[in-house]
Order: sequence, then C-alpha cells, then structure tokens
Amino acid sequence: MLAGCTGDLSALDPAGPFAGAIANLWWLMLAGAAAIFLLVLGLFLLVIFRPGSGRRVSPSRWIWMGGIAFPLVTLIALIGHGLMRGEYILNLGIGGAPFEVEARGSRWRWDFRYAEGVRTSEAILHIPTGRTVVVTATSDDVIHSFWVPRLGGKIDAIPGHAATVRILADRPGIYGGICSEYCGTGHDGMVFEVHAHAPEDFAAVLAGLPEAQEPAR
Amino acid sequence: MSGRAVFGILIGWIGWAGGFLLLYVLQATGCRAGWDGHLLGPISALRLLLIITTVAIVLVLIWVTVKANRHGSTSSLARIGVLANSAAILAALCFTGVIWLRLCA
Amino acid sequence: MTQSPRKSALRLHRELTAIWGTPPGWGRLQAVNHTIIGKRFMMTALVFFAIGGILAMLIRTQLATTQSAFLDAASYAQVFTMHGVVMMFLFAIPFFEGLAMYLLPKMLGSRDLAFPRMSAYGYWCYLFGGTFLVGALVAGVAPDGGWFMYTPLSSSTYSPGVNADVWLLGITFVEISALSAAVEILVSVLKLRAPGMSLTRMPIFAWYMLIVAGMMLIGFPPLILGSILLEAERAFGLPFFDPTRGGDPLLWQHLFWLFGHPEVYIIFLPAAGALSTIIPTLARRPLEGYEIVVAAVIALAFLSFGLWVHHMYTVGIPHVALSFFSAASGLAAVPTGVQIFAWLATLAHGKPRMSVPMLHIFGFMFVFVLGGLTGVMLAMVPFDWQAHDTHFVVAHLHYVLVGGFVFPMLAAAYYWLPHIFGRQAVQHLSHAAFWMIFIGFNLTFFAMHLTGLRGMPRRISIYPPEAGWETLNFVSSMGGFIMTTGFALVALDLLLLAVFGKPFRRNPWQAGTLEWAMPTPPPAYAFASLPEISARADQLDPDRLGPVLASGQGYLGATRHGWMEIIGVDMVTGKPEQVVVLPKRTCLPLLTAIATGSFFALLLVKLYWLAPLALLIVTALFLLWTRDCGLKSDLAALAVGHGTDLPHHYQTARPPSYWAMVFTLTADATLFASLLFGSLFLWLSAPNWPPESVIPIDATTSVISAVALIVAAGLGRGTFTSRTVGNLCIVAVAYAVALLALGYVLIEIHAEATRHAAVASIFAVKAYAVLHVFIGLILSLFCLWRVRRGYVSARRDLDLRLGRQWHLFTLTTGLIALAFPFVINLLAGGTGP
Repeated sequence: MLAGCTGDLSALDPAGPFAGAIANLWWLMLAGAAAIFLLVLGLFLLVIFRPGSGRRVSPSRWIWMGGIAFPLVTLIALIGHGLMRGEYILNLGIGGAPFEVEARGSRWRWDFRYAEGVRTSEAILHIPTGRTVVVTATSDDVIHSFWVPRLGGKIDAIPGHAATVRILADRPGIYGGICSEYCGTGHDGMVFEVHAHAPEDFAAVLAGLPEAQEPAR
Repeated sequence: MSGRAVFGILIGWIGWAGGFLLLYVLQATGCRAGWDGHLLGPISALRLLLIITTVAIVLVLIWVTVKANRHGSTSSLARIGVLANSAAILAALCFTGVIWLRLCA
Repeated sequence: MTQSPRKSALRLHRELTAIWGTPPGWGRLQAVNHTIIGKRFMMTALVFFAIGGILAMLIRTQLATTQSAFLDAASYAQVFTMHGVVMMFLFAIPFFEGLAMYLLPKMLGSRDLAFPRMSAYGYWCYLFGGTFLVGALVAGVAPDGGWFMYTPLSSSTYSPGVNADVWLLGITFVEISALSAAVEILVSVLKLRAPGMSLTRMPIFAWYMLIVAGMMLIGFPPLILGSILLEAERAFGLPFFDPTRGGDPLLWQHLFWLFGHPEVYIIFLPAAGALSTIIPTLARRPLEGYEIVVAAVIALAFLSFGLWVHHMYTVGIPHVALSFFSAASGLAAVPTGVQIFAWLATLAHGKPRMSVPMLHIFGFMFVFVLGGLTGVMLAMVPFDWQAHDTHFVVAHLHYVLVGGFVFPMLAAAYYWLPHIFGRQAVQHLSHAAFWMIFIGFNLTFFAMHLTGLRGMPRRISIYPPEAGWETLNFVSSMGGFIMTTGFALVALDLLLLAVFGKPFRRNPWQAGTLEWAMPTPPPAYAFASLPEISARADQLDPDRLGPVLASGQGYLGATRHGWMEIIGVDMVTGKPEQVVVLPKRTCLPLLTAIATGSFFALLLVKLYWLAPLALLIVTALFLLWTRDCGLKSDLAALAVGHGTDLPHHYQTARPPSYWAMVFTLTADATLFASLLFGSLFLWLSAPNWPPESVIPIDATTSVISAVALIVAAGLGRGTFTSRTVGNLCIVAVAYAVALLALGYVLIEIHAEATRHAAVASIFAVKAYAVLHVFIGLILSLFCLWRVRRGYVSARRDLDLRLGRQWHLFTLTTGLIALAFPFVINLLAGGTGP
C-alpha cells in the first residue's frame, strides 16, 4: 500500500519534517475516520437488518451519546491537535536562521530570488538541506500557488500580497513542484523543481546562479 | 409576541455570529495597527484584547440564554430555544485559539 | 343541502378547479400555481443535471489517460467551469426550490404559496438565466475561470472576452429566483399553515426549509454584491479587486465564500429535511428527537456562516484567525451527527421496511458519512495546506454533494413521484440503477482521494505519464461512465413509472403527513377544504382526513366571489387570523422576466445606455402586478367555516406582504453590510493604500440629502389621515431632491472612482443610496396613486405601511452612506502604512 503513495509530487511520501508532520496527521485521521465510518455504517446496517436490536438503547441516548457526546469529544481533541501541529509547523526553525527565498509566479513560470547572495533562478529552486526555508510567494499577474508536496504545504501567490510557507528537505535530491491554483490555459505546464543540496555544496551552487536585478522581498 | 418567540430560539446564535465577526475584525485591525507588538507584561495588547472580548462574548451569550428562558416556559418552542442557545454557548469554543495561537502573519 | 357527501365533493372540486386551475395551451404561460411551478423547477433542473453530467463525462474522458488530446486547455476550462456552475446554480438549488414549492403548501395544509406570481417570475428568471449560460457554452464563450471565478483571472485584463460577464450576469439573473424563493418560503411557512398548526407541530421538512430560506436570505446577498462589484470593475473600471489600484483579489474570495460555504449547507439541509420525512415513514415511527433536530439545524445554519475561510487557509491569514474557522468547520460535524443519530434512533425503534427509497438512504449514509469525515480532515489547517486545490478536495466535495443531495433526492424521487403522477413504481430497473450509481460513484471518487494526495491539482487538463496518476484517473473515468449509465437507467425507470406505474387509492407509504391527504395527482387547489391540526403534523392519518377534507368539511370548504382563498395564521401558535386572497394567474411574471432578461442581455452586449430603459420597463411591469391587489372598500369579517370569521388580509396589521418586505429588507441590509465590511476589508488588507489623491467629500450635498431623507422618512407615515396626500407629495419632492443631490455626487466622483478602490467604494455606497432613493420615490408616487384610486382607507393602509418600512430603511442606510466618505477619509488618512 505504501508503494502506491510514492511519487515525485506525493504528499504521502514526505522528505522533510513539515511534509512529515502533515503526513502523520493524515494517517492518524485516516485511522480515526475508518473506525468512525465502520461504526456508523455498522449501526445503520444493524438497525435495518436486525430490527429491534437497537431498541435497548433509548432514543435520546442514541442521540446524546452518538450525536453529541462522541463527536464533541473526538472533534475537540482533533481540532486541538490540528492547531498544535499547525503552530509547530509555523514556528519550527531548523539549522539556524531560516534561508529566505522569494517565489514569484507569472503566467506561466516560476522565478526565484534568494536573499543570500542576491541571486536568481528560473523554474528550479535551489535550497540547502537540513535548514528551514521560508518561501515568500507573490505574483505578477493572477493568483498562483506554490506547492512542493514532499517538502511542505502550499501557499498562494497573490498579486499585491506576500505570504510565506516553510519547507525543508532532509536529504539532497530533486523534488517536484507544481502550481496548484488555476491560472489560465498554461496552468498544466506551470511546474518547477526544487533541488536540495547538502549545506557544504550549497554555497557554490548559489554563487553559480545569475545575480538578481532587485533584492528578494 | 410572535416575533419575539421566534427570536428567542435564534438569539444565542445571533450573538455567536456577532461575536465571531467582532473577534475577526478586532484581530485583523489589531494586526494592521501593530497591537501585537505592544507587550503588556507577558502578553501582547492584542492578545489581551481578544481574550477579554472572548470572555465578554461568553458572558453575553450566557446572559441572553438565561434571559430568553427567564419565564421557565416548558413549551416545545422554549425547549428548542434552550437547546439552540446552549449549543451557541458551547460553540464559543471556536474562539479559544486567541489564548495561545499566533496572532499575526 | 340534501346532496350526498360524494356529490358535494364533486361540485366543490369543479368550482375550485375553475378558480385555481390553469388552462391548457397558451394558458400554461400564465401558470402561477405552486404544483405547476414546482414541477417546472424540478424538470428544468433535471435537464441541467443531464447537461452538467455530460460535461462531467467530457472531463473524465480528458483525464482518463495522460497527455490526452481530447480537449484543448481553453475548451477544458469552459467545460470544468460550466460543470460546476451548472451543477451548483442550475441543478442543486433550483431542484430543491422546486421540491419545496411543490411540497410545502401541501404539507402545511394550505393551498398555495404566499406569492404565486413571484414563484412564476423566479422560474422564468431561472429558465432564461440558465439558458443564457448554456447558450454561451454552445457558442463557445462560456465562463472559463473556474466556478468560483477568482480575480484577477476573471478581471478584464486576464479575461478580456465576454466569458466572465456571462457568469456574472447569468448567475445574478438566476439568483433573483433564489432570493425570491427564499422570501416566498419564509413567509409561506411562517404565515400560511393550516389552523392550529403551531410552529412546533409543523412537519420537520417545513422547519428545514424555513431555516434554509433564512440562510438563503443572508447567504446570497454577498455573492450578488460580489458579482455586481466585479461586473462594475470589468465594465466601468471601478477597481475593487485590482491590487494596483487599491483593490484586493482576496475581497472577491471573502465575498464568494461567504456565500459559497453556507451554499453547501443550503443544498444539504433540504435533502436532510426530505430524509427526516422519509425515514420515519419507512421506519413506521415518528422522528425521534424532533426538538433537538430543529435545534441542530439552527446550529448548523449559523455555524455554516462561520467557516467560509476554510477555503482560504493558503492565502496567508494568521493562524489565530484560521483557528476560528477551523474549529467552526469541525464543530459543524456535531449537529450533523445529531441528525444522523436521530435517524438511526428512529430506525432502531421502528420497524424499517426495505424499499427503493431505503436503498438510496443506504447510499446516502455510506457516501455522506465518508464525505463528512474527509470534510473534518480538510478543516484541519495543516492537512488542508497539502490537500487544498487537489483532487482530494474534488473527491470530498463530490462525496458531500452527491451523498448529501443526490442520493437523498433519488430517495425523495422514488418516495414522492407516486404523489406527482398518481402511480406507483414497477421496480424493474430501480435496484440495478441504484447499484450502478453507487458502485460507479465510489469507483470514481474514492480513487480521487489518493490521486489528490499524490499531488494532482484540480483543473489541470493534461498530466505527464511519470506522475503516476494514470491508473487512478482511469479507474475514476471508468467509474464515471458506470455512474452515468446508472443515472440513465434511473431516468428510464422514472419514465416507466410515470407511464406504466400502477395507480393507487391513497397514501401508498402509510405516511403521516398532510400531502397524502389529497387526491393524486394533486388538484390545482390541493385541499378542497383546510384541516384543523391538533397534533404534530407528521403523525396524522391522511386516509381518514382525505375524504373529510375533500367533501368540504374543513375550513374554507366553499367558494366566494371566485377568490383564491387561503388562511393566514399567527406564526407561532397557528391560530387563524386572516383570509389571504391570492392574485389570479397572469402572463405578467413571464413578461417581467423577459424584460429583466433584456436588461442583463443589454449589459452583456455592452449597450449600457439602453439598460436603464429595460429597468424602467421592469419597474413599470412590476407596478402593473398591483392592479388586482387590494380592496376598494372596507369589508366585514369573512366566514371561513367552523363558526370562525376572519378579516381579509388587506385589513390586518401583518399580512404576508408585510413580512415579505421585512425579509426583503433583511437581505438588502445584508448586502449593504457586506459592502461596508468589504470597504473596511480593503482598508485593512489591500495593497496601495491609502490613495495618493484626495478622497472627494462634498459636505453641502451631504447635508441637503440628509435633510431630504429625514423629511421623507418623517412624513412617509404608515397611517391614513386627511393629511396623507399632502405628506406623500412632500415625500416625493424630498426624494427627488435627494436623488438630484446624490446623483450629482456620483457624476462628480465617477472619474476619480476608477483610479482607486477607496473612491470606488464610496461610489458604490452612494450608488446604493441612489437606487434606494429612486425606489422610495416610486413607492411614494405609487402610494399617492393608490390613495387616489380609493385603495387606501384608515382600515386599508397596507400600502402606506409598506412604504413606511422602505422610507425608514432608506433613511438609515442613506445616512450611513452619507457618513461613509468621512469615515473612509479618516481611516485612509489616519493610519496609512
């Protein structure tokens, strides 16, 4: 089953702590959801095919236990957990000061600018491994969305706004990225790659990139 | 009297919706005005404001619920009102994030 | 009085049919009857469902293989956009509106809805608006920015063609029918019930529809406002959403989803109401937890307005704000759970019988519970950061909407079609059809969860082979074709039922609700006489009640002056308080809808100078509607049977139209509040604020307008005296002065308004005031005319009181509109970045 989850763009094949935290949340919720689904459907089939079997429980008990107490407790626990995990992802800093990049979407390409070294690159984002990368997404035209599923969540690139997302790669490698907000007829092809380099190689990679005309936001 | 009876079963949730909107507006305005950077002891001015507002919302919700059912009416409509208004108070749980979550982007 | 009951029933039937019936042929164009209009809504919605289904098949064909060359990207964009638009706006909402229109008067023991001509008008607006949208698809100029039309993609810079205008104008046209249906349902459920039917004796379906109609009243105005603002940006360059000129694309998202999320519950709740009606009948036991279910539906209605931002977790909103919406989204599962367990409790304590509707209820349970569970997952902020805008969301929303609407509606179709056609199912194809839909659906959309988590975004038309999505997509496509075949079988099955089904005597399901206490197919007047209700109206005995009512032994069991009479009750207790006399069938709704359509068509072809003329024609036609409303002399109380005398509705304090005005103004106020909050939002969030140029303020015209509005509201009184005519003349003059002053301001600032959103929002707020002042002027002149024609007396002052409501509303919103530029100036000047 896990083999079916891999892929260059698979959120279920995390390659860093941000994507990993979310994938864990997914597996946890999947298990819970499966149990609840079987419970509710089982009860439905039971009362249909074994008439009278649910009569020992009074109607108000059915409603208060099944419809209020159980979901309320489960949901409060889940919402609290989800918010804690969100807070963790928003605050996690690994490997010292975060590496800052601007991702600028325009129809239909991605340009990246690096605060360190004032460099720029197109269609390929270079990042160091083991260090939190803060991506500030913005757009020149319509709304796009920056998404590297194996490294973290997505963030919309909205003209006039600059929002951030944190990504991190544990290992060097090439990770797929894709625009996930519909942006016109070229939306299909608005893909990019993230190349993660070991910290010792990264300075050289960055130095080899063309210089940026203007600094990153 | 008719309108008031119908209103009585909605009042809790109207209060909840108003409180929701108030908190959202306060939070956005506070971030724009930079109140989150203004520290009052251990917490920021914005957080304190949001917490006080949340407490006030809960108190108002409890007050309107008690007031709406002051006559202890046992009619079916009154029972629906008690259930709906209590649910609205419980739904103030939605606001508890103001205590501990990141206030501004 | 020596006739046998049977003979007198026949005579009454003939008399009532002459009054309530609709003649065949061209006469059908005059139809205003709720049975006919309800059926038309449902039939038309089914045609649009078929169109939307064909579009879905095109999508699935395109995505079945990698690098598919079936559709190019531009056509694909039109197809997926129109699939969403058709299913949401042209199928789901109109279908349940039709069901509600058909059922409500019958379930509530009444003869028709409160404003039959408005339902007809709403239907024509829906038909023309829908045809307009589908016509654009045929012409190849359909909307292509996704069904939620995000700006700036849908702004004129990136969508220069007519496509986006088709969406904005077509949908707004269709929404007229949604809003008029909302007002109609609210008033009908609250006021037009059988005597003795208190609120808490209503069948549960009426509670659901009452709450849904209230949600529509608050939920649709933000969308209508958003559409008007975006069309104003596209047509006249007012930059509400343009970040380079102080607008903000996020404003559109807020306005759209403030409508868009309640919309999902607006679609689900009528279906849940149908289930809450059908399940108890099939379980042979009244619904358990009636009161807690009502409270749960109220809770769900409000919660659904507190979770729109869960469509916007990835735009960079601070975590604490997201937490409000995340928690509300999660908690919405509790009232949903209450309903599900109320149904389970009913089944557990009843004696459920297997039948075709029950099969579809199983389909609902299976599919909807899964959709609800993935909904809770998506409500969790971090998970949504991954799943947002992927096929996981596509899977989720189809599980919710097909599970929460289509399966319940299929159950409802098999349950109520015998009522509509007077024939029972033959059941040759029903089971096979169900299993094909059920299996096909799950194949299609279960696989899609994984496709999405493996990284496939929504709305891409081609994907590379190495992405590894092909097998899953192929499974989805095959499932889709199986499901479509299933729907075709259902259509055939229902057709067979309508033609070859076996007739039945009465109440085939042994239901306890009033709609079965009448002949089937139902006569135009529904009940020959109206019942007195002394128990909860889902526990009645239609088999006993039907013949009694048919022989005229209930209320209003005789005809009078050829009037279409029903009883209006106190909204809480159900005590009868008035005889409501409905207007007759007429072509006016059709003509008015054609005029309304020509207004939208003129805007679409950019003949802006002609469009106001169309609006004037619409206004004139609406005024013609009032010709057969009202009384020219005071009437004594009317006997309604059972020794009860009630006043004509025109001579009561709170007739249906009074409440219609209250609800219309509520929707109107929501629109105005959305506009004010929208402007506040621009100040908070939009880039390029404050504007570089000075915001124009004109104190003189503001003072003149304010005085004029105060005079108009002060003298536009609700009571009839000897001074009424003089006062109304002054009111009209005051409105004319305010119109000139405000119109002057609009002309003054219109050029500046295209330069920055701050001025554009002032323009919008003032334009809102101008529109209301203009309608106030028309209303005051209308009242004058009604007084002159003798429709108004001290006991017949309804026209004046409706005017009074409007004048007070215009004063309130007008003063806010006049103060608005000062507030914007203060904000923009005070705390600019």
